[in-house]
Amino acid sequence: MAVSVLKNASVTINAVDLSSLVESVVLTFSIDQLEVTAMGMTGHRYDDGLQSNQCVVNLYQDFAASKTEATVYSLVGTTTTVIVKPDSGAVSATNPSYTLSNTYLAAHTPLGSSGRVGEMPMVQLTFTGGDLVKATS
Amino acid sequence: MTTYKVLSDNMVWPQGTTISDSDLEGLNVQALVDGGHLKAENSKPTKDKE
Repeated sequence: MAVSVLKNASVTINAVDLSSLVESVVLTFSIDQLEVTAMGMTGHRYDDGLQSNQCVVNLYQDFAASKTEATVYSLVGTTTTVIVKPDSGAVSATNPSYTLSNTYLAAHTPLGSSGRVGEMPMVQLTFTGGDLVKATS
Repeated sequence: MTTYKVLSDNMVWPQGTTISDSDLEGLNVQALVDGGHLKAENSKPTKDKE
């Protein structure tokens, strides 16, 4: 059984590879479910609407040049492209890439979500919307 | 056309590479400049054809 274990996932935000600072990444591919149920039907019927995607990335904060803060701060309130792969290797059928373009970043937590003394601040980014494309080559 | 030099070592292009606007489609260029990842190199005005 060839199950996949995430050990070296690749996360590129705005063309910057921040994989070495990523603690977790959750990509949700979703399509709006539009109800088209009409009189005479005995059950609900649905059709597909627009994509409604989301990508949540948890990163270790790093204020050094070109790291987390330098990459993320100016992205808040704008759209960008996020690319996620299960492994950092070449794109293939067993290592597909997921490109989420025109996705919006509404918020950034530069000092972590709780800001407690002695805590390692984690940056949680939630990219919403945009167009998801999967590639295998 | 504006070209940019890649300053950081964690972009999808190697450090020192020169890229153009077309390479940056779909990206937030200002955020990359603000974050020190890119530096604008030149901006050549386009000539109007007569």
